[in-house]
Amino acid sequence: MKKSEVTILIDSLLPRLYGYAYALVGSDLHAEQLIVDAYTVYIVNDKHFLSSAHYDFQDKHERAEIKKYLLKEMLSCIYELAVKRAPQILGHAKECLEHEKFYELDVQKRAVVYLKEAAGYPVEDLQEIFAMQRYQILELLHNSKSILLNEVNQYQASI
Amino acid sequence: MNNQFDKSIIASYVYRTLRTKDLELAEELIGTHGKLQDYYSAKVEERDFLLQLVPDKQISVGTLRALKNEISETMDEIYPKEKKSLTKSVAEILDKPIFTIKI
Repeated sequence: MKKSEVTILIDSLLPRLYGYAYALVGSDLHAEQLIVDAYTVYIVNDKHFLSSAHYDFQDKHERAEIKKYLLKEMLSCIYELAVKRAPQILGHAKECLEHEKFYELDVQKRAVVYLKEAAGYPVEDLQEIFAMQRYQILELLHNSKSILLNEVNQYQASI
Repeated sequence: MNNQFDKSIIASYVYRTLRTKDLELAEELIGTHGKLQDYYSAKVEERDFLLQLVPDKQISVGTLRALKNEISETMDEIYPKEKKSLTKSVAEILDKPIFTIKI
């Protein structure tokens, strides 16, 4: 794959990657930094595979396949970096008052809930991104929803 | 089938965690049982509320531009240079004058 082809594909993924990174860190600046760093890590690790991969860039099916592959790899990289940075970015995320309850979740739960509920990924894709079994993803989703909806459920139970 | 099982099928249907093979069953349950229809509506409301709790920030034009620039710079620095074929390299050399005479 040529450098220009990888750049075109990654550029087209940026809006989706940004929404995800923002959900993980709760700040514009940190989200931007997270994407750039994750991208650097990914390219350093995968550059030989990418540069030697042969496919027809003009074929929209092949292009869609490689784009899907890049997206999953990037989501995975962003998550791993966010977990490592969690202790430093926790304070910033908690300042995000608009979604206070969401930022009380740990990074793993935020990532799974965002990708499932806001971005609409199927469980099978989440299994690939987080390298987990189906039951583990479902358990994470269930626990996250319980935490987020806890106050609502308590209120409903009281009336 | 027990009521709790039916409810869990409907909850999974609403949250799109149901396996494809069970989709028909969920739709049948919702379509034929009045009480389960109420449960389905309550779950849809719950999911909509949950969605409001999850941030879904859109990227701004400025941030998108900045990210594109940074990614382009990163690519220039670390992505392997493209290998040119011998004929292309020779053509590039022949395309330029070997020497020029300045008067």
